[in-house]
Amino acid sequence: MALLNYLKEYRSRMGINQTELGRMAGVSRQTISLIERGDYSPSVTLALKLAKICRVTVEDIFEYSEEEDS
Amino acid sequence: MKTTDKSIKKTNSYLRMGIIMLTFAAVGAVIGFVLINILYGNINGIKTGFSGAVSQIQQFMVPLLLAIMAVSVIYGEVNLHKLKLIGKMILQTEDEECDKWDYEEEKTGAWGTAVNVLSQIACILVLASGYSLKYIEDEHHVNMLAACVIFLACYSYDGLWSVRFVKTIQNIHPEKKGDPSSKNFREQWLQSCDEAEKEIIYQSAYKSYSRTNQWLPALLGITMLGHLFFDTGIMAVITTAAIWLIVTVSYLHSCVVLKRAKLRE
Repeated sequence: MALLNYLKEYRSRMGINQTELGRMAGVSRQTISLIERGDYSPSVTLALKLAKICRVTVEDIFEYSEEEDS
Repeated sequence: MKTTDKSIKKTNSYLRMGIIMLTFAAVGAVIGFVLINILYGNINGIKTGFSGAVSQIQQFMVPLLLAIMAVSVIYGEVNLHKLKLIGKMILQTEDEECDKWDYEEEKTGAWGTAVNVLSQIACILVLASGYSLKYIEDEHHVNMLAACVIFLACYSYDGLWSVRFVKTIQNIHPEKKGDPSSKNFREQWLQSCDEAEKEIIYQSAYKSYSRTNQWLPALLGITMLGHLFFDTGIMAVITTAAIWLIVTVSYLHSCVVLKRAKLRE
């Protein structure tokens, strides 16, 4: 996966579970779980929503890695 | 260098396609040769064998349908009960632990739906064997009537099971919308799915389309050979061809409509 993410860390910092974060972002718990595991790259809209909920920038949560892509 | 690579790749694709077509032609020729030289002499025997098999199914039509219904009902109830228990676990657990139960829910639901569809197909196949005026006129009309009643009961149960299955999933995931009795159910369900769930649905749909397009030409060949050699009926060939055409045209139509919608945006 070229897209690394720190969503789990930010969620833990906020002290909420996947269900709660999913509810806040308007997606299912499974989707949050897939993003955290790196099995799903969210849309720009969802990434922005998640960043807004966590009160950070998208780049703080998601990191694009060139090395792993090649 | 790039052009050379491209031309090699192109040649390889044409060559590979040619080899595949030749292989299929050779396999077809061998099958044709075998059928004509070995089976043709026994064609009446094979036809009698098929008729014998159908009459055997006719004879046991009622118990067979009863067995199918029993399996369908027992499995359906066990499946729904299991699904409800999984639902409870989903609601009680969190995060990583819940992932395991989500997978169990998907797997159990898939098995339940597969058995439900299989039961409907088996019911039709068994009942279809009795669709013969000769059979009905040979004092088997009571048998046929009983078979029809069981068939309807089984079909009704399978239909109701589908509704109960959707309601169970909706109880576990209240965000999932859609009236299972509505003809727009699939559309309503899709609307209530989020982007990751939609991606899974789209991927699975494309996989089904690809697999269908691999199987249908083969099935069309089989039905055609069946009709040529065993007189299995032109209807099977027409139906298979129609399904192939519908699947392909639906897919292509959907692609064009979506592209046109993007153009308007």
